[in-house]
Amino acid sequence: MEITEVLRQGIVTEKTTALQQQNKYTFKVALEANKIDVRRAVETLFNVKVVSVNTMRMPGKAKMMRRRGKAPRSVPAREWKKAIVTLREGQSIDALKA
Amino acid sequence: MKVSVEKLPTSEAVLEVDVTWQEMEKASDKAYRKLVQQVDIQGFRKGKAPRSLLERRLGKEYMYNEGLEELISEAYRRALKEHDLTPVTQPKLDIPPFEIGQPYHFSVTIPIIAPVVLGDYRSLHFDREEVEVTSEEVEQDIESQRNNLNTWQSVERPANYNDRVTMDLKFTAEGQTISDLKDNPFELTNERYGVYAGMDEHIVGMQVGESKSFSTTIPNDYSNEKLAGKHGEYQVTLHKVEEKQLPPLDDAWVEKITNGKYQTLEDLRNSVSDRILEDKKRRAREELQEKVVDAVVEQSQMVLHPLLIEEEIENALHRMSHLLQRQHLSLEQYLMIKKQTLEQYKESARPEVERSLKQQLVLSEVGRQEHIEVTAEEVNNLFQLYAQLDQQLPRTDEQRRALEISYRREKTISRLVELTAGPDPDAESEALTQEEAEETAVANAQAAAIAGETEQTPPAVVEQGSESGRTQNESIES
Repeated sequence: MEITEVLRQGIVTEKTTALQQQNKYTFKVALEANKIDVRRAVETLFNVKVVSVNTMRMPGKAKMMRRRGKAPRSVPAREWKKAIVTLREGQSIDALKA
Repeated sequence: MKVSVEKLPTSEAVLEVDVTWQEMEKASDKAYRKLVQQVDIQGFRKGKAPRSLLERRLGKEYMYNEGLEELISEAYRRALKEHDLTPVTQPKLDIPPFEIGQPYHFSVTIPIIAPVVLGDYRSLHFDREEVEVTSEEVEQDIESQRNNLNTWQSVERPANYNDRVTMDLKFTAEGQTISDLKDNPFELTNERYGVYAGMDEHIVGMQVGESKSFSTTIPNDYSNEKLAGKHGEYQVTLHKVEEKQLPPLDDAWVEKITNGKYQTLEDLRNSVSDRILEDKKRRAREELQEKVVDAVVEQSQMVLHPLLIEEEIENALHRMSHLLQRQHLSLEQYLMIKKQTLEQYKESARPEVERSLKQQLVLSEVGRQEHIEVTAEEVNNLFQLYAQLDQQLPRTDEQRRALEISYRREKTISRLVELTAGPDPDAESEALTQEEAEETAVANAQAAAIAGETEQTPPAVVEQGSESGRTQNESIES
């Protein structure tokens, strides 16, 4: 998989900033990317050494779809993949750092 | 933080403040902790966002500026407290842009009430004016009472001044009928103003049943400009001439007009004389008070900051519009009537405002030097006095303060009068002064309460309006 297509965006929340203490950075990645793709992408794009990658498929939560003239109905939102990347000690990704 | 204060002769104080970068950091950190509680950032609960994210959202400068504001107000508060300054209005800030990591310097200019330097008011001396009542004044008063209670007696003779005539009157000017009256009573007088001026002299000498035509000139200063200075044509027919009949000046009349309170003419004379004396005494006392206060103000030295005057003019304007509201007039309408712009009106109020400000400052300084205090008990008495006058006041802190301020002022004036003119000769009127002082205090407090002010000055309602404006003023002041 092309490395430019793997990482979709960084995730900055209260929880992920807390994880940064353990040198772990969180990304939203392409659903079809695997751990090896993520490792390659992070290492090349941010010029760091990755120790481990954990991935998980996040379920699309039910969203209400409202359209004019039609009854609202519940539609599942799209599923996505989250990757938590552990870096080698002393390294960091400044773009995500709080 | 180093703060130096310099007082300028223009009744301003300048604060020069030096701040180190560490202090800036500390202040901005405080600002961050305050701001983070208010700003919503996705993915974080309120108050949990890290500083870097907040800075990205609001801008780094914003955080420092916020901290700086806190520093400025702290320096301001500290300077006011330590140097005992009374600010007039908002201070003027001179804040250059800061550089990150550098020590910072700013200055604040505060318009203040410069301390009043009193003259040697204790060495002033005024004489109390002796007042007395002459028998002519008494007779005049009784005579005017008699005149008000006259009756009319129909007579068979030509009309004369001071008679009451009943007549038909048709009055035209400029081809228009101004008035067409039937059987209308007029009291003939040789001092008639307005549109009918000059009519009386033609009617004097007419017999009952006689008709006459004549013309007059309407006065140049008549309020309707279309008619002023024009000729007016009269056509009158006289129906009745009546003579003024004064009631006889005897004990029976006295008993009648006083509802049996006084039986004899002598009693009435005494009571009238007492009343006039009281009146004169009061007026003399007021004049003396005014003279003393004016003299003390004259002696004193102070600088009024222009902004203070500006602000007080605004206050006066505010009170004026309240007063007008009671007459169901808006300020705009009032200004139209007076043919003044807002600016002109403000300018015309300025001398009076300045005077009362000076008076206020001087009196409060005198009060301080003479240690004049108003106790809570005295304020309570004022409230009760008010209740007796059928005016329940809300017992709020604000009202309390307003009463206290005005009462202290009254006490200060009384003290000044005592110092400069000796104690009041009649012991009885001592109590009266007290009571009166309370009355004025009540009136003043009312004004203060209306304006919602804590400081009080007599409203600057000095009018020198045009002819047409004058009648309007009377209705306003009544």
